[in-house]
Amino acid sequence: MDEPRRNDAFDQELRRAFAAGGGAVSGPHLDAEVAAAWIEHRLDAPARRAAEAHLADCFDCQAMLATLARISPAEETASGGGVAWWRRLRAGWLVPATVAAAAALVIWVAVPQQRAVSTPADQLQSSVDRGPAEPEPAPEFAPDAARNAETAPRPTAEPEAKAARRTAPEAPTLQKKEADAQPAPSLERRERFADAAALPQPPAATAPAPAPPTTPPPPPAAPEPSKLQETLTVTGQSPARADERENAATTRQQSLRGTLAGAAALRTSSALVIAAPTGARWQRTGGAIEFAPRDNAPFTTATLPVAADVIAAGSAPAGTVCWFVGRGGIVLVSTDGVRFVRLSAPAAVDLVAVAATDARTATVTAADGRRFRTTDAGVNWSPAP
Amino acid sequence: MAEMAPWRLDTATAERLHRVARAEQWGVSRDTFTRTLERGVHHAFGGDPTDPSQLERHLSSLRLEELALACACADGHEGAWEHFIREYRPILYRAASAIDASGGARDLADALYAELFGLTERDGTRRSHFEYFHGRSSLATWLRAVLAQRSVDRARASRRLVPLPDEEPSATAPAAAPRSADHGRFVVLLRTALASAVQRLAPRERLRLACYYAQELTLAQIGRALGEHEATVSRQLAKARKTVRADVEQQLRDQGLNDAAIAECFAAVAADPGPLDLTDLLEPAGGKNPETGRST
Repeated sequence: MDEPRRNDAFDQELRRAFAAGGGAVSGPHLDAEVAAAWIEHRLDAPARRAAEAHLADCFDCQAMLATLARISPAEETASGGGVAWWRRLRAGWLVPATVAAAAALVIWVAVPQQRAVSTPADQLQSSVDRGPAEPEPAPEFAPDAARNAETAPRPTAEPEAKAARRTAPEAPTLQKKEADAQPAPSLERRERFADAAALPQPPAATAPAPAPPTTPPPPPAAPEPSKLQETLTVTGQSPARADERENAATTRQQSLRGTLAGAAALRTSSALVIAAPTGARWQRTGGAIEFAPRDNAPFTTATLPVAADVIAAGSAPAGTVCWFVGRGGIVLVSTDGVRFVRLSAPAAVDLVAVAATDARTATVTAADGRRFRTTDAGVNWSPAP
Repeated sequence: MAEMAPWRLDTATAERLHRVARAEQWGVSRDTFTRTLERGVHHAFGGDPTDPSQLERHLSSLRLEELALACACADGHEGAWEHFIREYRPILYRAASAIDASGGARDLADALYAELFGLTERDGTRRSHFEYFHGRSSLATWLRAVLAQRSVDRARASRRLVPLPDEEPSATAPAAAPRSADHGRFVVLLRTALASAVQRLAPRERLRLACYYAQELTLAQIGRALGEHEATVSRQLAKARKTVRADVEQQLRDQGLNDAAIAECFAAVAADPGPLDLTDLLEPAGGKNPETGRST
């Protein structure tokens, strides 16, 4: 029996096994409100875990949820149904804050290194003026395919999905390279599945979300009930948030952040928050990068050609322009905030910092201290002082 | 409301939440709103809240304005109903059409709407289905969830009533493949291994696989439901599938099967798409027999 047929047989069995329902179902059925809160990502961690423990094995509740997922407009679930960004972010901070003795490592990479940008505010401002109108290199990851899949009715999506199931797990790395090399319009759902399967899978990627704090935040935050609402807002903000509010131009703070960024850059699993002077913001949540175009706007998940956790640092010179660098010479840039394309690497070394002035010009710093500069979006790199 | 707990929301918080919810615009008194909040807390915590920070998170996550609207509608406030009819009833009917474009779910939406308006109970008090909304999600998503639940319930009930008319034809398909003597045993071995491999996955992994394989959601829909990017869903699905398959094959090897016998297990299930036959299970598998390795 050849491998494709074996794969088919295995998929058929998986389908049969899940359609037959799982093992012992834990806990009560989900009521409509819990299901609604779950799909809006509004349950706190214990409630979410309890719901998922039940959902994992209860075919009926899965069916309800699937129906709900089908009839929910994309925009109402995509960005967490209006959960304030700081609330989700808060859990992200608490983990390093409580686990690591070091302070929560929030990387402000608008100015990643002191030496990288001499007068940060000026440069950032000038790049804002230039705006995000740079032409975008051909995308590698087929965002259009993503949109098509989004809108395609189920029946047409299904055959492709079947094909994906057949080829996915055995997809050789070679295939990924081919997919990378041929830019995207023809890249199908199947190939993207295969591509994704071939991506490096660091352990952090499996964690659905930062582990919930079992203990409450350290308590300057312990609120008097009477001040509940204000206090929550303030605790949600935590230092970095407050800083962001102030102004990107407070140079002393920036150099401090630059140092922090340098120290944290090697730990790619640490928190990653990047803010543009316009208030646009990128953050790493779970295994994804999320983007909010302005202060208080909802986050949408960005499309990356690599796993989010290989990213070590970023720099956002203007509203929707953002650069990321990471392990093994990864350099990514986006001009619309959500679609990132991979640029050629200056060297096959880990990159730990980046300082960008616009969508074409950036200086990256390698782990070994070398620095490289491009002024044409990565087509050419030259050693930088 | 009957089992009123000793726990009460403190006045200052209640007052503040009442104000934030702008409940007075619908004429919802602070007292009514407070009782509603308390019921919601009770429902969410399955009793009195014990952890103040958890309570704080709960209260701060509520959709207070929509809860106030629901509260007012339950009370029969005219302005609130006008608002609901204008803003939310269309959502309800759109959801019904999304469930069944041919209009088959319209009656479910009608029934729900009637229940939201309230039914007169024996004791003369009006009970509205809004009482089941506690503000933990948006009102729109809650309406969709109630409708989804009812449509699934109805589908299940009708399946139970109509006894499987056309599920047999598939049985004719695999007849072509000649069955080996070990066929039944191989099917059972593989399915048992698969079941335990799946159970070893984390609940969220199982849920992701179930959404894909059993519920047949698209990657994008799964991503939205789980709050993950589509590419993450795809990657995690591939990974979980690989894990399960490796686990299954390992279990089969542990049972003493060699590679050829494992291949026969796959061939056996490929030729047997139907539900697990009980007779296969009841028939003892004949113990471990490592020499069953025939190549296909």
